[in-house]
Amino acid sequence: MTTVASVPGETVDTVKGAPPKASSATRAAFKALLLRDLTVLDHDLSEFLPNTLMQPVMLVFVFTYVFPRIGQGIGGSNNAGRFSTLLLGGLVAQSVIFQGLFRVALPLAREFDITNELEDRVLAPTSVRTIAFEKILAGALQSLFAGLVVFPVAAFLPSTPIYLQAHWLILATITPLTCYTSAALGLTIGTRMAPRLVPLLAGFIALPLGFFGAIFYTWDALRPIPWLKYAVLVNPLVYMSEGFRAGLSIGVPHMALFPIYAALIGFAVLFTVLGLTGFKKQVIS
Amino acid sequence: MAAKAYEAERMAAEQLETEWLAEQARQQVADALAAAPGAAGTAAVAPTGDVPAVAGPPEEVLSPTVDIASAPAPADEPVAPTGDAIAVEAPADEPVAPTAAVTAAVAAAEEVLAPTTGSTLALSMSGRAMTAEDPVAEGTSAVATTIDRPMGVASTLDRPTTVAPTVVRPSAVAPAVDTPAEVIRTVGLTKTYRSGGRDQKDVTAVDGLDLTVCRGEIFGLLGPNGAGKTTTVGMLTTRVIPTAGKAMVNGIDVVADPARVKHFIGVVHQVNTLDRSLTAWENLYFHGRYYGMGAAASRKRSDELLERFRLTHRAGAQVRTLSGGMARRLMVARAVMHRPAVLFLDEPTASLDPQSRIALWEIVEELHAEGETILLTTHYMEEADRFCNRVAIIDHGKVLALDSPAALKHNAAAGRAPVGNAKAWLAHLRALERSSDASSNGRGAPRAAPDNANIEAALIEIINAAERHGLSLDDLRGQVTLESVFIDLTGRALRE
Repeated sequence: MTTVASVPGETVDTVKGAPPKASSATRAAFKALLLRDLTVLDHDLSEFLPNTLMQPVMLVFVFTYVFPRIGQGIGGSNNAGRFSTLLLGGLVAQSVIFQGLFRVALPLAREFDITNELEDRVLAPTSVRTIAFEKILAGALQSLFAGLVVFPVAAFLPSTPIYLQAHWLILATITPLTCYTSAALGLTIGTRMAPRLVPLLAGFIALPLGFFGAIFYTWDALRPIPWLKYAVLVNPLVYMSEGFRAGLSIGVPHMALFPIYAALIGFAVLFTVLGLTGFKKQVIS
Repeated sequence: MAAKAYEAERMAAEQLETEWLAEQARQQVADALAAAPGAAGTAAVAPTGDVPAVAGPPEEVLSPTVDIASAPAPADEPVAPTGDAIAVEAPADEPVAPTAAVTAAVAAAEEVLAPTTGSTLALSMSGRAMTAEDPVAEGTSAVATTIDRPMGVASTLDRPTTVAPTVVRPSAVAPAVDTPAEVIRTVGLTKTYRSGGRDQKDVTAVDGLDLTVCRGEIFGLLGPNGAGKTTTVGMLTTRVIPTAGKAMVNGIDVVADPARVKHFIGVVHQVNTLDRSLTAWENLYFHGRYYGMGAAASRKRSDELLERFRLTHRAGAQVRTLSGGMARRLMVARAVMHRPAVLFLDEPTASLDPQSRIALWEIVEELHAEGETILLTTHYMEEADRFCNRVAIIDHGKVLALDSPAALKHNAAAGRAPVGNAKAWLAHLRALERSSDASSNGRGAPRAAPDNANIEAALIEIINAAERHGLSLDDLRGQVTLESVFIDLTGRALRE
C-alpha cells in the first residue's frame, strides 16, 4: 500500500500499490469465486435438495417399489433386482448431469440476459478464462453433491435387491469426469444458447438426454434397434450411465471402459472449449 | 421556508468559501490568473487592482468582461431573455461591508426573481472587502447565486425555480502543485463493430480517441446516446477490445494485461449489477475476496463501508429488497472496496430521486476529496458542471471539446454572448422602467407569466436593489450553461 498525494497539502490513503503477482491474484480470485458459488448453494439448499431429489425419488419409488408390487412389466417381477441395479447407475448419472447443467446454465442465462449481475465477477482481477473455468468447477462440485445425495435414495429405497459392488478406481475417476463434463455442458449451453431459450432446457435438452441416456436400460440392450444404438452415442449421458454402472454394480452389462473414458474425456474437452469461448464472447466484445 | 433554508445554505456556502479564500487566495490566485488564458482581460476589469477579484467559479475569473469605457453601448437592443448575468461590484470609492451588502442585494434580487419562475436569468454579484476589520478583508469576498433553467425551453416557465448557492470547489480553482500523474491515457483509441450483413456498414463507435485523465480529478465523459461513451468505458474497463489505438490504465495496457488493469479499477454501472444471490454485506465481502483481501480484512472493510454509506441497518438484506438509492450506494461501496486507482461511474444518478442523488454526490465528493480519480458519464449537465474538473464532450466517437466546464462555457460565451457597456445597459433599463407600466410594480408584487418585459422589469429592480445597498452595476455579460455548450456541439436532433 502506498500513499498518493492528490490535492496540494493532502495525503490520502487511497491505493493502490502494485497488484499482487498474476498467479497469486488468480488463485485468490478463483478461490473467492468458488467460495461465493458454494455460499450461494448453501443459501439455496432448501431449494436445491428437493429439486435434486424429487425426480430420482419418484422414479425409484414407482419403478422399483410400485411396479414390482403391482406386477408391471417395467422393473417387474422377473428381473426386478437387475432392473433396480441398472437403474442405480442411471439415476446417479442423471442427477449429476442435470444438476451440473442447470446449476451453471440457468444462472448464467439470467445474468447475461436480465440482471447483469455477473459484471462484478467478470471484473475480478484475473483472466476471463479463469472466471469461466471457475463456473465449471463450481458446477462440477454441485453436481457431485447431487450425485452423493441421490446415491442412497437409488441404492436403498428400492424394495427389490440391488447388486452393489463399488469399483473404487472406476468411481474415483468416472465421478469427477462426469461431474466436470456436466458442468462444462452447462457452461456451453448457458453461454451459447439464446438466453430466452435456456428456461426451456427441460423440454429441449433434458428430456431427450434422459430418455436416450441409457438410464432405464443399458446401452447394449438397444441391440435390436441398431440405428438407435449408435445414434444415442452422441448423448454424453450414455457414457455417464454406463460408467456409473461399471463402477457401482455387478451382474449388469455395461459398455467397455475405454470408450466410456475416451468419450467422456472428448466431451469434457469439447464442452470446455465451447464453454470458455462462449463465455468470452458474452463478456468481451 | 424555502427562502430561509436557502439563505442558511447560501450563508454557509459563503462562509465556507470565505474561509477557503482567506487561506488560499494570496498564495494561489495570482498564479492561477497568470497561468489562465484571458487573465489579462480579467485584470482590466478588476476595479482597484489591489486584489484580483475572484468570484467563485473560474468563468467569472476568465470571463471576457468588457472594458467599460470602450465597449459599445447596446442602446436599442432588447435585454436578452436567456442566459444573462449581472455582476455588481462595490465602487472603489465607496467602502461598504461587502458581505452584508451583497447578501442584501442578492436577497432583494431573489425576491424580485422569485415570481418570475423559470427565468433564465443568471445573476452574480460580488463585493470586495474594504476595511481591515472586515472578516474577509485579506481576501476577496464573493457570492454567486444562480437562478437557472435549461436553455431552449423558454415557453415552459411555470416550474419552480432552482436556487442553489454555488460553492467554490477548491480543486476547480486551485492549481495543482505539481503535474498530476496520468491514471488513464488513450491514444487513437478506436472501436469498430463489424456489421452482421452485406448491406450493413461497419459502425465505428469510437474513432481515434485521445484522452488523459489525471490522478485525483473528476473527469466527465459527456455525449448523446450512441456517442461512444459506453464503448470507451468498456475499453477502459477491459470489456471491449479496441480495434486500434492504445489505452493505458495506471500505466498498464488494457489489451496486453487486462487482469492487472482490473485490479486498479472500480466500476459502477447504470443498471443494478449487485449479486442478487448474496446479501448486501456479502456483496462487499466477496468483492474484497475477489481482489485478494483476506477474510478478516474484507469483513472489516465491509463493515466500515456499510457504516460509511449508511447501509449498516440493511447489511443482511437481500439486495433485491434495497431501494434504488441504497442499491446505487452499495454499488459505489463495492466498487471502492478494493481501493481502486480510478472509479468509473456510469450514469450514477440516473433514475434516482433528488435525495438519493444528493446523498450519492456527497459520497462521490468525499471519495474525490480523499484523492480518488473518477471518470463519470452522465446526461445531467448540471452535475457535470458542478462536480467535474474537466469534461470531454464526445459524439460519433470523437472528442468535440475537452476542458474544464468553466472554460468550455467561457469559450462558448466569447463566441456568442452579448457583451455590452454596463452603464449603457443601465440607462437603457431605466428608460424602460420609465416607459413601462409593468416596471412600476412594487417589489414582490405578483407577476404574470414572465416574458421579456417582466425580465426587463426584474433586471431594473435588481439594479435598484443593488444601488439601495451601495452597489452599482458594473458589468452585464452573457453566461452560457454546459448544456447549451453540449447542444451547440452535438445538435438538437434526436439520437434514436
